[in-house]
Amino acid sequence: MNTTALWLVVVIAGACIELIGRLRPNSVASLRRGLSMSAEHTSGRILLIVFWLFVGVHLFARYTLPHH
Amino acid sequence: MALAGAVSSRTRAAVFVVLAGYSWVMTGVHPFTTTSYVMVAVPSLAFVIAYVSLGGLSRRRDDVDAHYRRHAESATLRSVTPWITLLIAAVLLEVIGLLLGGRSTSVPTLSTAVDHLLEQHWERFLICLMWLLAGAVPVLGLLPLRARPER
Repeated sequence: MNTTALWLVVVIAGACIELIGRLRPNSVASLRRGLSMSAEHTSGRILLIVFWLFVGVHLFARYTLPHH
Repeated sequence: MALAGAVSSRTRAAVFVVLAGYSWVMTGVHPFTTTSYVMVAVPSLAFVIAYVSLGGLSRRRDDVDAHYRRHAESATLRSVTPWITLLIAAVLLEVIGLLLGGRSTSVPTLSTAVDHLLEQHWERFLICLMWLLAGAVPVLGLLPLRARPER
């Protein structure tokens, strides 16, 4: 199996949820609404910031290129 | 966390251009070097300091809570269940990938999978620009609240 296939499924599922969220906002929340909901309290905002910082360091300061 | 209406489109365009330029320079630096850590640290600190100074992490700012409640548009736990399910699936996949050694070809970790998207400079540039925008948008969103005093 292609190494990125499983994660591609996750991304496609996310895109589908986002699409349904825009078409049926009463039953499914879009990503923007979901993130806003999790940011309603300070603890949620701290978690989001920590996650954002982790992604930045992990992806742009500590990445390894395949075949290198 | 949409851009607030009080922030002009000219400001948003200027922020986008600056971040795009920074992203291009930042993703041209080799990883695991001091420069790469500094290049990540500069926007990280800038956005976090700006966010904190705007009251983003203050427990005494009800208007900040209300700002996000307004943008959540009455989202409920039930309506975000698909996202929570997807998050749990992603975490499980990551844990399985890590248990298999971290570089398994059958179940790779997210970072192993993403590394394939970071090979070309323009790919790194686009992903980095998305990351920078994800940091800038909450700051721009809180700008209209900056004049309000803490209760």
